[in-house]
Amino acid sequence: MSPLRDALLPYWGAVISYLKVGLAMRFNFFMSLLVTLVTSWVLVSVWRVIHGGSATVQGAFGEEELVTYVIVAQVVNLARMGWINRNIVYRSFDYVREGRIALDLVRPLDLQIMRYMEWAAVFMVDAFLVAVPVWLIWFVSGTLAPPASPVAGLFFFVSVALAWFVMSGIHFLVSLLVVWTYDQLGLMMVRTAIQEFFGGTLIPLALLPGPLVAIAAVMPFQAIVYTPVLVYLGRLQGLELLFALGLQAVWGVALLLAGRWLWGRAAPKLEVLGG
Amino acid sequence: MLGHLLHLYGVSISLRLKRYAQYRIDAWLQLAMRLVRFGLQLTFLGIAFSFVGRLGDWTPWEVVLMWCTGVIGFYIHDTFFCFATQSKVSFYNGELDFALARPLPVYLQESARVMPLESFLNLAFFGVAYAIAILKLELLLDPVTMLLLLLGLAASTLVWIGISTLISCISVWVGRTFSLWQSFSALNDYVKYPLDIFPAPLQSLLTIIPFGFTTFYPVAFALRRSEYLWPGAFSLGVGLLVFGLAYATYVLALRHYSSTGSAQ
Repeated sequence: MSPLRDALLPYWGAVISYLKVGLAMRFNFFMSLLVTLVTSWVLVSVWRVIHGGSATVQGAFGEEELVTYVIVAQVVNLARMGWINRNIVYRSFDYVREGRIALDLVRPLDLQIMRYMEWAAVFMVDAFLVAVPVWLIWFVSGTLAPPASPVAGLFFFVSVALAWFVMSGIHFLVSLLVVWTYDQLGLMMVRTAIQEFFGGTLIPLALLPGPLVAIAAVMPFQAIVYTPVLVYLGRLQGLELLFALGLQAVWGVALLLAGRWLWGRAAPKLEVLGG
Repeated sequence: MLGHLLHLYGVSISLRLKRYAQYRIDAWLQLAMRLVRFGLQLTFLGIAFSFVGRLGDWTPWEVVLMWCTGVIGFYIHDTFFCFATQSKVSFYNGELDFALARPLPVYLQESARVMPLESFLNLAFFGVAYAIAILKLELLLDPVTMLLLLLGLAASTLVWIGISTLISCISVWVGRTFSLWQSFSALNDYVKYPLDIFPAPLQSLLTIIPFGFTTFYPVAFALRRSEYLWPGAFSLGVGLLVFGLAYATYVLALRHYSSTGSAQ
């Protein structure tokens, strides 16, 4: 066995365990599917009205392209409210507040890698039970266009995988903040709002006013939704595509390192008796 | 009797507020987070209106009024009647014994005991936004419209209490209903738009699941009575109907309540 495989094998248990938990919570995902469908339907309707009345929006996107953007952004929206976010944030909070994180700390595993692995499992269940069905329903109904080309489709999956990497970094950082704030619900809501806005889930970043585009450009959220959707639409090609994917990877690594640094600061503050 | 109940309810709420006052940093942090969240949502609306000026036939402040009506109704329910939201856990875990032993209605006791600060802050924020929208639309001196808007707020609150209580109470029979509630409340963020810009099936869906009566219908009726007589004029009736149904379910759920909980 390779050293990397040896190192990662113990974490496989966490992935399997979370896959089982996720698949056992089918009703949660069914509800998440319904909400995502209604949300995307509402947003498509709103953007159709805006597109019909604005030359600026028409200049930036064709109607079919804009509709595809809105739906694919919902499909890959890793900030959607549902079992995933609830489980990740509440669990992190409860573990800190009640001291149950002590159990994780005595395991011979790296906490950060374990969390990333757990979230990979949750992400896979969400993709299987929510994202793919939503995509299929819209695609079969003829509302959603397929990826711009086979290559765009292939790189879309690469980009989504990198989006998960970035998202896990953000999850980890936010979950550590509860060590200082003790307010998990507020953190979750503000993260969701910022992520949906600056990630391009609600508005394509190209349509934001200049100053907001500048703010979005220096934040990692565009790497979670905006980049994968642009890849799907075939708007990024050649060097531009490689640069965008590279930037996603850079954000993922930067957040991983930031998480390591913050964990170093948070760990001494943990109280295993809870508090 | 009612005065005595309201007094006890008031005392419980003031105790809860005192407890929050001891955690000032958390309170300010929560307020800041909510401001960021709603600021971004308002920015989204602002950007949308910068492209089109009107959404369908509705001006920006009219849409803000609709949005605020829905959200204020939601947060009145989630602040002062939060047992509706919380009881799914109480029923499921069998945590009502203590409240049942006291001489105050369980619903009010539990609502006062767990009143969430963040909902109170949200209510304050949207109350200000609602007042600004009314001033911008110059409605303050129009008593009929103001009365209809207030009735709209009542309808919105009743619908939210009803939906929330119904979802919580059925946990007595079906077990956990948290995800069902979370899904419904998540939709709250997306029903702020005028319903008449949506395709007919979506309009029907948001009328049958009565979200339309929390935002669009009551405000549309208040602002343009002749155009939205149906179903706008029936918003309060729908609110009372949903609330009545929920209350009947609540009474039934209390009868089936078991100290052992309904965990399955």
